[in-house]
Amino acid sequence: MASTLKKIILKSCDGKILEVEEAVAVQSQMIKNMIEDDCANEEIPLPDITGEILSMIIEYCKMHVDGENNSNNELIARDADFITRVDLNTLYYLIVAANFLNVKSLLDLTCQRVADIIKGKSPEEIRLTFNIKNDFTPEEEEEIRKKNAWAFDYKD
Amino acid sequence: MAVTSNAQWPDDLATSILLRLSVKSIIRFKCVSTTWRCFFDNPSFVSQHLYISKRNQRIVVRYTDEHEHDDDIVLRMFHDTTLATFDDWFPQFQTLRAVSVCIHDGLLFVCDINLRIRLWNPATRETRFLPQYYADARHRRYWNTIGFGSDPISNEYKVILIVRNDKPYKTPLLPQLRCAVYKMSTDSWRELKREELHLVEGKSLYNSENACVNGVYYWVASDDVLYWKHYVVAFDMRKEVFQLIQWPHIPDTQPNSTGELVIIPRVDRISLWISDSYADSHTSNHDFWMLDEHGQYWTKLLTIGPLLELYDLQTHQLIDTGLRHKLNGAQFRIYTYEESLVTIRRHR
Repeated sequence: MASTLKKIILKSCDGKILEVEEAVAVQSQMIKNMIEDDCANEEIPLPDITGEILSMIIEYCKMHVDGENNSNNELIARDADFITRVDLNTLYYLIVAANFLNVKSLLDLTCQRVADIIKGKSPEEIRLTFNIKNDFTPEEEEEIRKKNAWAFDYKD
Repeated sequence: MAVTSNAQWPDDLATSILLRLSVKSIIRFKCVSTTWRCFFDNPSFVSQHLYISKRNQRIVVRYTDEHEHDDDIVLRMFHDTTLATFDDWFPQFQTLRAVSVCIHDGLLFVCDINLRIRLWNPATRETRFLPQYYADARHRRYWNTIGFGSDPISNEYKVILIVRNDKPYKTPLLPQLRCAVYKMSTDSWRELKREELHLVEGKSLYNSENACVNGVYYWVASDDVLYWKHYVVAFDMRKEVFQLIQWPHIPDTQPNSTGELVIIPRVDRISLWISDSYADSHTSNHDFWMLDEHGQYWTKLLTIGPLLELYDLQTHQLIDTGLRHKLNGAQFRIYTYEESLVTIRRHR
Protein backbone atom coordinates (compact mmCIF):
# COMPACT_ATOMS: atom_id res chain seq x y z
CA MET A 1 0.00 0.00 0.00
CA ALA A 2 3.07 2.26 -0.05
CA SER A 3 2.22 3.72 -3.43
CA THR A 4 -1.08 5.19 -2.16
CA LEU A 5 0.86 7.35 0.27
CA LYS A 6 2.98 8.91 -2.42
CA LYS A 7 2.51 12.68 -2.55
CA ILE A 8 2.15 14.79 -5.66
CA ILE A 9 3.20 18.43 -5.39
CA LEU A 10 1.11 21.04 -7.19
CA LYS A 11 1.99 24.70 -7.57
CA SER A 12 -0.72 27.29 -8.30
CA CYS A 13 -0.20 30.40 -10.46
CA ASP A 14 -0.02 32.57 -7.33
CA GLY A 15 2.79 30.45 -5.88
CA LYS A 16 0.80 28.30 -3.46
CA ILE A 17 2.30 24.81 -2.99
CA LEU A 18 -0.12 21.96 -2.26
CA GLU A 19 0.88 18.41 -1.37
CA VAL A 20 -1.72 15.91 -2.49
CA GLU A 21 -1.96 12.15 -2.01
CA GLU A 22 -1.56 10.32 -5.28
CA ALA A 23 -4.99 8.63 -4.95
CA VAL A 24 -6.56 12.10 -4.79
CA ALA A 25 -4.40 13.64 -7.52
CA VAL A 26 -5.21 10.91 -10.07
CA GLN A 27 -8.83 12.04 -10.08
CA SER A 28 -7.36 14.48 -12.58
CA GLN A 29 -6.84 12.60 -15.83
CA MET A 30 -4.12 15.07 -16.76
CA ILE A 31 -2.09 14.38 -13.61
CA LYS A 32 -2.77 10.67 -13.93
CA ASN A 33 -1.24 10.74 -17.42
CA MET A 34 1.77 12.67 -16.09
CA ILE A 35 2.31 10.07 -13.35
CA GLU A 36 2.07 7.24 -15.87
CA ASP A 37 4.62 9.03 -18.06
CA ASP A 38 6.82 9.45 -14.99
CA CYS A 39 6.65 13.25 -15.22
CA ALA A 40 5.17 13.94 -11.78
CA ASN A 41 8.20 13.52 -9.56
CA GLU A 42 8.90 17.24 -9.36
CA GLU A 43 6.32 19.89 -8.45
CA ILE A 44 3.71 20.43 -11.19
CA PRO A 45 3.16 24.09 -12.08
CA LEU A 46 -0.43 25.01 -12.95
CA PRO A 47 -0.14 28.36 -14.73
CA ASP A 48 -3.84 29.38 -14.87
CA ILE A 49 -5.16 28.04 -11.59
CA THR A 50 -5.10 30.10 -8.39
CA GLY A 51 -4.44 28.56 -4.98
CA GLU A 52 -8.03 29.18 -3.93
CA ILE A 53 -9.48 27.32 -6.95
CA LEU A 54 -6.89 24.54 -6.65
CA SER A 55 -7.81 23.99 -2.98
CA MET A 56 -11.46 23.68 -3.95
CA ILE A 57 -10.67 21.13 -6.65
CA ILE A 58 -8.55 19.09 -4.23
CA GLU A 59 -11.34 19.26 -1.66
CA TYR A 60 -13.71 17.90 -4.31
CA CYS A 61 -11.34 15.10 -5.40
CA LYS A 62 -10.64 14.14 -1.78
CA MET A 63 -14.36 13.98 -1.11
CA HIS A 64 -14.75 11.53 -3.98
CA VAL A 65 -11.82 9.33 -2.93
CA ASP A 66 -13.00 9.23 0.71
CA GLY A 67 -16.56 8.60 -0.36
CA GLU A 68 -15.74 5.72 -2.70
CA ASN A 69 -17.66 3.27 -0.55
CA ASN A 70 -20.62 5.56 0.03
CA SER A 71 -23.89 5.06 -1.76
CA ASN A 72 -24.66 6.94 -4.92
CA ASN A 73 -27.26 9.06 -3.14
CA GLU A 74 -24.77 10.12 -0.45
CA LEU A 75 -22.30 11.23 -3.11
CA ILE A 76 -24.98 13.20 -4.93
CA ALA A 77 -25.91 14.93 -1.68
CA ARG A 78 -22.24 15.80 -1.00
CA ASP A 79 -21.77 17.09 -4.54
CA ALA A 80 -24.86 19.27 -4.14
CA ASP A 81 -23.59 20.61 -0.82
CA PHE A 82 -20.19 21.40 -2.38
CA ILE A 83 -21.49 23.10 -5.50
CA THR A 84 -24.27 25.25 -4.01
CA ARG A 85 -21.64 27.10 -1.96
CA VAL A 86 -20.01 28.36 -5.18
CA ASP A 87 -21.07 31.62 -6.89
CA LEU A 88 -21.25 32.11 -10.65
CA ASN A 89 -17.93 33.95 -10.87
CA THR A 90 -16.05 31.21 -8.98
CA LEU A 91 -17.89 28.60 -11.05
CA TYR A 92 -16.32 30.06 -14.17
CA TYR A 93 -12.78 29.56 -12.77
CA LEU A 94 -13.69 26.09 -11.49
CA ILE A 95 -14.96 25.06 -14.93
CA VAL A 96 -11.85 26.30 -16.72
CA ALA A 97 -9.61 24.55 -14.16
CA ALA A 98 -11.63 21.29 -14.15
CA ASN A 99 -11.38 21.31 -17.93
CA PHE A 100 -7.62 21.89 -17.86
CA LEU A 101 -7.00 19.23 -15.21
CA ASN A 102 -9.55 16.95 -16.89
CA VAL A 103 -11.64 16.06 -13.83
CA LYS A 104 -14.66 14.85 -15.75
CA SER A 105 -17.16 14.47 -12.91
CA LEU A 106 -16.35 17.96 -11.61
CA LEU A 107 -16.72 19.42 -15.10
CA ASP A 108 -20.15 17.76 -15.35
CA LEU A 109 -21.14 19.03 -11.92
CA THR A 110 -20.02 22.63 -12.52
CA CYS A 111 -21.54 22.89 -16.01
CA GLN A 112 -24.82 21.45 -14.72
CA ARG A 113 -24.78 23.98 -11.86
CA VAL A 114 -24.36 26.93 -14.26
CA ALA A 115 -27.18 25.51 -16.42
CA ASP A 116 -29.38 25.29 -13.29
CA ILE A 117 -28.54 28.89 -12.37
CA ILE A 118 -29.34 30.32 -15.81
CA LYS A 119 -32.26 28.10 -16.81
CA GLY A 120 -34.95 30.36 -15.35
CA LYS A 121 -33.45 33.61 -16.62
CA SER A 122 -34.94 35.88 -19.28
CA PRO A 123 -33.09 36.44 -22.59
CA GLU A 124 -32.13 39.94 -21.34
CA GLU A 125 -30.53 38.49 -18.19
CA ILE A 126 -28.70 35.90 -20.31
CA ARG A 127 -27.25 38.64 -22.51
CA LEU A 128 -25.97 40.40 -19.39
CA THR A 129 -24.55 37.22 -17.84
CA PHE A 130 -22.69 36.14 -20.99
CA ASN A 131 -22.04 39.67 -22.30
CA ILE A 132 -23.85 39.07 -25.59
CA LYS A 133 -25.06 41.72 -27.99
CA ASN A 134 -28.64 41.38 -29.21
CA ASP A 135 -28.40 41.42 -33.02
CA PHE A 136 -32.07 40.76 -33.77
CA THR A 137 -34.25 43.57 -35.07
CA PRO A 138 -37.10 44.30 -32.65
CA GLU A 139 -39.54 42.76 -35.20
CA GLU A 140 -37.50 39.56 -35.52
CA GLU A 141 -37.25 39.18 -31.76
CA GLU A 142 -40.97 39.84 -31.34
CA GLU A 143 -41.74 37.13 -33.90
CA ILE A 144 -39.63 34.49 -32.13
CA ARG A 145 -41.17 35.45 -28.80
CA LYS A 146 -44.69 35.23 -30.19
CA LYS A 147 -44.07 31.86 -31.80
CA ASN A 148 -42.76 30.38 -28.55
CA ALA A 149 -44.85 32.38 -26.06
CA TRP A 150 -45.33 29.29 -23.85
CA ALA A 151 -41.57 29.10 -23.20
CA PHE A 152 -41.70 32.55 -21.58
CA ASP A 153 -43.83 31.29 -18.73
CA TYR A 154 -41.11 31.24 -16.06
CA LYS A 155 -42.74 28.93 -13.58
CA ASP A 156 -40.18 26.16 -14.14
CA MET B 1 -18.85 28.74 -33.58
CA ALA B 2 -18.79 31.72 -31.30
CA VAL B 3 -21.36 31.11 -28.63
CA THR B 4 -20.53 34.09 -26.53
CA SER B 5 -19.02 37.38 -27.45
CA ASN B 6 -17.39 37.40 -24.04
CA ALA B 7 -13.85 36.17 -24.53
CA GLN B 8 -13.97 34.87 -20.95
CA TRP B 9 -16.13 31.81 -21.71
CA PRO B 10 -14.30 29.45 -24.06
CA ASP B 11 -16.73 28.14 -26.72
CA ASP B 12 -16.47 24.47 -25.81
CA LEU B 13 -17.19 25.19 -22.14
CA ALA B 14 -20.15 27.43 -22.96
CA THR B 15 -21.44 24.59 -25.15
CA SER B 16 -21.11 22.11 -22.28
CA ILE B 17 -23.31 24.39 -20.20
CA LEU B 18 -25.95 25.07 -22.86
CA LEU B 19 -26.24 21.33 -23.63
CA ARG B 20 -27.50 20.82 -20.08
CA LEU B 21 -30.41 23.23 -20.33
CA SER B 22 -34.02 22.09 -20.54
CA VAL B 23 -35.76 22.29 -23.91
CA LYS B 24 -38.00 25.07 -22.61
CA SER B 25 -35.01 27.24 -21.61
CA ILE B 26 -33.31 26.61 -24.95
CA ILE B 27 -36.41 27.67 -26.88
CA ARG B 28 -36.61 30.82 -24.77
CA PHE B 29 -32.90 31.56 -25.32
CA LYS B 30 -33.30 31.34 -29.10
CA CYS B 31 -34.04 35.06 -29.01
CA VAL B 32 -30.79 35.92 -27.16
CA SER B 33 -28.93 36.44 -30.45
CA THR B 34 -28.86 35.15 -34.04
CA THR B 35 -25.74 33.12 -33.22
CA TRP B 36 -27.46 31.36 -30.33
CA ARG B 37 -30.52 30.65 -32.48
CA CYS B 38 -28.41 29.03 -35.25
CA PHE B 39 -26.41 27.16 -32.66
CA PHE B 40 -29.53 25.66 -31.02
CA ASP B 41 -30.96 24.62 -34.41
CA ASN B 42 -27.74 22.85 -35.40
CA PRO B 43 -28.35 19.06 -35.79
CA SER B 44 -25.13 18.30 -33.92
CA PHE B 45 -26.31 20.37 -30.93
CA VAL B 46 -29.69 18.57 -31.07
CA SER B 47 -28.10 15.11 -30.99
CA GLN B 48 -25.56 16.00 -28.29
CA HIS B 49 -28.38 17.51 -26.21
CA LEU B 50 -30.37 14.28 -26.58
CA TYR B 51 -27.35 12.24 -25.51
CA ILE B 52 -27.03 14.24 -22.28
CA SER B 53 -30.79 14.33 -21.78
CA LYS B 54 -30.81 10.50 -21.75
CA ARG B 55 -28.94 10.61 -18.45
CA ASN B 56 -32.03 12.24 -17.00
CA GLN B 57 -34.65 9.76 -18.08
CA ARG B 58 -38.12 10.11 -16.70
CA ILE B 59 -40.74 7.45 -16.22
CA VAL B 60 -43.99 7.64 -18.16
CA VAL B 61 -46.84 5.38 -17.13
CA ARG B 62 -49.67 4.75 -19.54
CA TYR B 63 -53.03 3.58 -18.29
CA THR B 64 -56.72 3.71 -19.09
CA ASP B 65 -58.80 6.01 -16.95
CA GLU B 66 -61.86 4.09 -15.80
CA HIS B 67 -63.98 7.25 -15.75
CA GLU B 68 -63.28 7.96 -19.36
CA HIS B 69 -63.92 6.19 -22.59
CA ASP B 70 -62.44 2.71 -22.72
CA ASP B 71 -59.82 3.53 -25.30
CA ASP B 72 -58.84 6.92 -23.92
CA ILE B 73 -55.40 6.63 -22.47
CA VAL B 74 -53.59 8.77 -19.95
CA LEU B 75 -49.83 9.18 -20.04
CA ARG B 76 -48.41 10.28 -16.72
CA MET B 77 -44.88 11.66 -16.88
CA PHE B 78 -43.10 11.71 -13.51
CA HIS B 79 -40.58 14.52 -13.10
CA ASP B 80 -38.06 12.38 -11.19
CA THR B 81 -37.57 9.03 -9.51
CA THR B 82 -39.21 10.15 -6.27
CA LEU B 83 -42.46 9.99 -8.29
CA ALA B 84 -43.73 12.91 -6.20
CA THR B 85 -44.69 15.24 -9.05
CA PHE B 86 -45.97 14.55 -12.53
CA ASP B 87 -47.63 15.95 -15.65
CA ASP B 88 -50.55 14.19 -17.27
CA TRP B 89 -50.38 14.16 -21.03
CA PHE B 90 -54.06 13.67 -21.53
CA PRO B 91 -55.73 16.52 -23.40
CA GLN B 92 -53.52 15.94 -26.42
CA PHE B 93 -54.94 12.46 -26.86
CA GLN B 94 -58.60 13.09 -26.18
CA THR B 95 -59.66 12.75 -29.78
CA LEU B 96 -57.56 9.70 -30.50
CA ARG B 97 -58.39 6.13 -29.68
CA ALA B 98 -54.82 5.04 -29.43
CA VAL B 99 -53.92 1.48 -30.20
CA SER B 100 -50.19 1.84 -30.16
CA VAL B 101 -47.90 4.29 -28.39
CA CYS B 102 -44.11 4.39 -28.67
CA ILE B 103 -41.77 6.89 -27.06
CA HIS B 104 -38.38 7.22 -28.72
CA ASP B 105 -35.80 10.03 -28.45
CA GLY B 106 -38.34 12.26 -26.71
CA LEU B 107 -40.86 11.78 -29.51
CA LEU B 108 -44.26 10.24 -28.94
CA PHE B 109 -45.69 8.08 -31.65
CA VAL B 110 -49.41 7.43 -31.47
CA CYS B 111 -51.35 5.22 -33.85
CA ASP B 112 -55.11 5.16 -33.52
CA ILE B 113 -57.67 2.52 -34.40
CA ASN B 114 -58.02 3.88 -37.95
CA LEU B 115 -54.25 3.68 -38.55
CA ARG B 116 -53.96 7.44 -38.30
CA ILE B 117 -50.47 8.13 -37.06
CA ARG B 118 -49.32 11.19 -35.23
CA LEU B 119 -45.93 12.23 -33.88
CA TRP B 120 -45.67 14.64 -30.98
CA ASN B 121 -42.72 16.19 -29.17
CA PRO B 122 -44.09 17.20 -25.76
CA ALA B 123 -41.01 19.30 -24.96
CA THR B 124 -41.09 21.49 -28.10
CA ARG B 125 -44.87 21.11 -28.52
CA GLU B 126 -44.46 20.25 -32.19
CA THR B 127 -46.77 17.77 -33.81
CA ARG B 128 -47.04 16.03 -37.19
CA PHE B 129 -49.76 13.89 -38.73
CA LEU B 130 -48.37 11.30 -41.12
CA PRO B 131 -49.86 10.86 -44.58
CA GLN B 132 -52.17 7.86 -44.38
CA TYR B 133 -51.09 4.56 -45.90
CA TYR B 134 -53.09 1.38 -46.37
CA ALA B 135 -56.32 3.26 -45.70
CA ASP B 136 -58.24 0.01 -46.22
CA ALA B 137 -56.31 -1.77 -43.45
CA ARG B 138 -58.47 -0.46 -40.61
CA HIS B 139 -60.77 -3.33 -41.54
CA ARG B 140 -60.91 -5.93 -38.79
CA ARG B 141 -59.77 -8.64 -41.18
CA TYR B 142 -56.33 -7.12 -40.92
CA TRP B 143 -53.75 -7.54 -38.25
CA ASN B 144 -51.52 -4.47 -38.05
CA THR B 145 -48.08 -4.32 -36.54
CA ILE B 146 -46.30 -1.02 -36.09
CA GLY B 147 -42.88 0.19 -35.05
CA PHE B 148 -41.30 3.61 -34.60
CA GLY B 149 -37.63 4.36 -34.14
CA SER B 150 -34.51 5.82 -35.61
CA ASP B 151 -31.27 5.00 -37.30
CA PRO B 152 -28.69 6.71 -35.10
CA ILE B 153 -26.12 6.90 -37.90
CA SER B 154 -28.18 8.97 -40.33
CA ASN B 155 -30.41 10.50 -37.60
CA GLU B 156 -33.38 9.37 -39.64
CA TYR B 157 -36.70 8.62 -37.93
CA LYS B 158 -38.85 5.91 -39.46
CA VAL B 159 -42.20 4.21 -38.99
CA ILE B 160 -42.75 0.65 -40.11
CA LEU B 161 -46.23 -0.61 -40.77
CA ILE B 162 -46.99 -4.29 -41.41
CA VAL B 163 -50.51 -5.18 -42.50
CA ARG B 164 -51.57 -8.81 -42.62
CA ASN B 165 -54.75 -10.39 -43.79
CA ASP B 166 -55.73 -12.23 -40.63
CA LYS B 167 -58.24 -14.64 -42.18
CA PRO B 168 -56.83 -15.52 -45.58
CA TYR B 169 -59.10 -18.57 -45.87
CA LYS B 170 -62.15 -16.32 -45.57
CA THR B 171 -60.94 -13.50 -47.77
CA PRO B 172 -58.42 -15.00 -50.16
CA LEU B 173 -58.75 -12.15 -52.62
CA LEU B 174 -57.51 -9.48 -50.23
CA PRO B 175 -53.75 -8.80 -50.10
CA GLN B 176 -52.08 -11.26 -47.71
CA LEU B 177 -49.10 -9.35 -46.38
CA ARG B 178 -47.99 -5.78 -47.01
CA CYS B 179 -45.37 -3.62 -45.40
CA ALA B 180 -44.34 0.02 -45.82
CA VAL B 181 -41.71 2.25 -44.24
CA TYR B 182 -42.20 5.96 -43.60
CA LYS B 183 -39.20 8.29 -43.58
CA MET B 184 -39.55 11.50 -41.61
CA SER B 185 -37.04 13.52 -43.68
CA THR B 186 -38.90 12.95 -46.95
CA ASP B 187 -42.34 12.69 -45.36
CA SER B 188 -43.11 9.71 -47.61
CA TRP B 189 -43.78 5.96 -47.51
CA ARG B 190 -41.92 3.22 -49.38
CA GLU B 191 -43.71 -0.05 -49.97
CA LEU B 192 -41.54 -3.13 -49.41
CA LYS B 193 -41.49 -5.71 -52.18
CA ARG B 194 -42.83 -9.22 -51.72
CA GLU B 195 -39.34 -10.76 -51.70
CA GLU B 196 -38.30 -8.42 -48.88
CA LEU B 197 -41.01 -9.94 -46.67
CA HIS B 198 -40.26 -13.67 -46.82
CA LEU B 199 -38.89 -13.82 -43.25
CA VAL B 200 -42.13 -12.52 -41.77
CA GLU B 201 -44.45 -14.59 -43.95
CA GLY B 202 -46.44 -17.17 -42.04
CA LYS B 203 -45.79 -15.46 -38.72
CA SER B 204 -47.90 -13.33 -36.42
CA LEU B 205 -46.03 -10.29 -35.16
CA TYR B 206 -47.17 -8.84 -31.86
CA ASN B 207 -47.04 -5.11 -31.32
CA SER B 208 -44.18 -4.21 -29.03
CA GLU B 209 -44.00 -0.65 -27.88
CA ASN B 210 -40.68 1.12 -27.45
CA ALA B 211 -38.53 -1.66 -28.79
CA CYS B 212 -36.03 0.25 -30.91
CA VAL B 213 -32.39 -0.05 -29.86
CA ASN B 214 -29.34 1.03 -31.84
CA GLY B 215 -31.27 1.38 -35.07
CA VAL B 216 -33.10 -1.95 -34.86
CA TYR B 217 -36.79 -2.48 -34.09
CA TYR B 218 -37.94 -5.75 -32.48
CA TRP B 219 -41.20 -7.68 -32.24
CA VAL B 220 -42.16 -10.99 -30.69
CA ALA B 221 -43.61 -13.33 -33.31
CA SER B 222 -45.20 -16.77 -33.37
CA ASP B 223 -45.41 -19.30 -36.15
CA ASP B 224 -48.87 -19.55 -37.72
CA VAL B 225 -48.78 -23.36 -37.95
CA LEU B 226 -46.48 -24.33 -35.07
CA TYR B 227 -48.18 -21.69 -32.95
CA TRP B 228 -46.15 -22.51 -29.81
CA LYS B 229 -42.94 -21.66 -31.64
CA HIS B 230 -41.81 -18.14 -30.87
CA TYR B 231 -39.26 -15.89 -32.49
CA VAL B 232 -38.04 -12.35 -32.22
CA VAL B 233 -38.29 -10.48 -35.51
CA ALA B 234 -35.85 -7.59 -35.98
CA PHE B 235 -36.03 -4.80 -38.54
CA ASP B 236 -32.89 -2.86 -39.38
CA MET B 237 -34.03 0.78 -39.60
CA ARG B 238 -31.13 1.81 -41.82
CA LYS B 239 -30.98 -1.05 -44.34
CA GLU B 240 -34.73 -1.68 -44.07
CA VAL B 241 -34.34 -5.47 -43.85
CA PHE B 242 -35.87 -8.08 -41.55
CA GLN B 243 -33.94 -10.60 -39.46
CA LEU B 244 -35.18 -13.62 -37.55
CA ILE B 245 -33.81 -14.29 -34.05
CA GLN B 246 -34.34 -17.63 -32.29
CA TRP B 247 -36.11 -17.68 -28.92
CA PRO B 248 -33.79 -18.25 -25.93
CA HIS B 249 -33.49 -21.87 -24.91
CA ILE B 250 -35.22 -22.19 -21.55
CA PRO B 251 -35.42 -25.65 -20.01
CA ASP B 252 -38.69 -26.73 -18.34
CA THR B 253 -40.83 -23.98 -19.82
CA GLN B 254 -44.48 -24.30 -20.67
CA PRO B 255 -44.76 -24.94 -24.39
CA ASN B 256 -46.79 -21.83 -25.07
CA SER B 257 -45.10 -19.42 -22.70
CA THR B 258 -44.39 -16.16 -24.43
CA GLY B 259 -42.60 -12.98 -23.55
CA GLU B 260 -42.49 -9.27 -24.00
CA LEU B 261 -39.68 -7.10 -25.30
CA VAL B 262 -38.27 -4.43 -23.02
CA ILE B 263 -35.36 -2.06 -23.05
CA ILE B 264 -33.64 -1.98 -19.70
CA PRO B 265 -32.58 1.62 -19.02
CA ARG B 266 -28.85 2.31 -19.43
CA VAL B 267 -28.31 -1.13 -20.99
CA ASP B 268 -28.36 -0.44 -24.71
CA ARG B 269 -29.70 -3.86 -25.73
CA ILE B 270 -33.06 -5.41 -26.26
CA SER B 271 -34.24 -7.77 -23.54
CA LEU B 272 -36.98 -10.35 -23.33
CA TRP B 273 -39.21 -10.41 -20.30
CA ILE B 274 -40.56 -13.90 -19.75
CA SER B 275 -42.88 -14.65 -16.89
CA ASP B 276 -44.44 -17.83 -15.65
CA SER B 277 -47.51 -17.80 -17.86
CA TYR B 278 -49.68 -20.00 -15.65
CA ALA B 279 -49.09 -18.12 -12.42
CA ASP B 280 -50.76 -14.96 -11.28
CA SER B 281 -48.63 -11.93 -12.18
CA HIS B 282 -48.43 -10.91 -8.52
CA THR B 283 -46.92 -14.20 -7.40
CA SER B 284 -44.91 -15.40 -10.37
CA ASN B 285 -41.26 -14.97 -11.18
CA HIS B 286 -40.01 -12.86 -14.03
CA ASP B 287 -36.89 -13.62 -16.05
CA PHE B 288 -35.10 -11.04 -18.15
CA TRP B 289 -32.99 -12.27 -21.07
CA MET B 290 -30.65 -9.92 -22.91
CA LEU B 291 -29.67 -10.24 -26.56
CA ASP B 292 -25.95 -10.04 -27.38
CA GLU B 293 -24.56 -7.28 -29.58
CA HIS B 294 -24.58 -9.48 -32.69
CA GLY B 295 -28.26 -10.23 -32.26
CA GLN B 296 -27.74 -13.98 -31.94
CA TYR B 297 -27.57 -15.26 -28.37
CA TRP B 298 -29.54 -14.58 -25.23
CA THR B 299 -28.16 -14.46 -21.71
CA LYS B 300 -30.23 -14.33 -18.56
CA LEU B 301 -29.81 -10.91 -17.01
CA LEU B 302 -31.85 -11.22 -13.85
CA THR B 303 -34.85 -12.82 -12.19
CA ILE B 304 -37.27 -10.76 -10.17
CA GLY B 305 -39.92 -12.08 -7.81
CA PRO B 306 -43.53 -10.94 -7.85
CA LEU B 307 -43.74 -7.58 -9.58
CA LEU B 308 -45.49 -4.59 -8.16
CA GLU B 309 -44.80 -1.89 -10.71
CA LEU B 310 -41.30 -0.50 -10.89
CA TYR B 311 -38.03 -2.14 -10.00
CA ASP B 312 -34.95 -0.09 -9.20
CA LEU B 313 -31.93 -1.78 -10.78
CA GLN B 314 -29.49 0.09 -8.55
CA THR B 315 -31.07 -0.52 -5.17
CA HIS B 316 -32.90 -3.73 -6.20
CA GLN B 317 -36.10 -2.47 -4.67
CA LEU B 318 -39.63 -2.27 -5.96
CA ILE B 319 -41.13 1.20 -6.22
CA ASP B 320 -44.80 2.00 -5.86
CA THR B 321 -46.18 4.46 -8.44
CA GLY B 322 -49.48 4.80 -6.61
CA LEU B 323 -51.28 3.61 -9.72
CA ARG B 324 -51.70 0.01 -8.68
CA HIS B 325 -55.49 0.23 -8.66
CA LYS B 326 -55.29 1.14 -12.34
CA LEU B 327 -53.23 -1.90 -13.27
CA ASN B 328 -56.24 -3.70 -14.67
CA GLY B 329 -56.48 -3.59 -18.41
CA ALA B 330 -54.04 -4.32 -21.14
CA GLN B 331 -53.27 -0.65 -21.68
CA PHE B 332 -50.94 -0.38 -18.71
CA ARG B 333 -47.37 0.24 -19.81
CA ILE B 334 -44.23 1.87 -18.52
CA TYR B 335 -41.96 3.93 -20.75
CA THR B 336 -38.85 5.97 -20.29
CA TYR B 337 -38.80 9.47 -21.72
CA GLU B 338 -36.17 12.14 -22.10
CA GLU B 339 -36.71 15.69 -23.34
CA SER B 340 -35.42 16.29 -26.84
CA LEU B 341 -35.04 19.08 -29.37
CA VAL B 342 -35.61 16.71 -32.31
CA THR B 343 -37.85 18.63 -34.67
CA ILE B 344 -40.82 17.07 -36.43
CA ARG B 345 -42.04 20.26 -38.10
CA ARG B 346 -42.22 20.00 -41.88
CA HIS B 347 -39.72 22.24 -43.66
CA ARG B 348 -41.84 23.67 -46.40
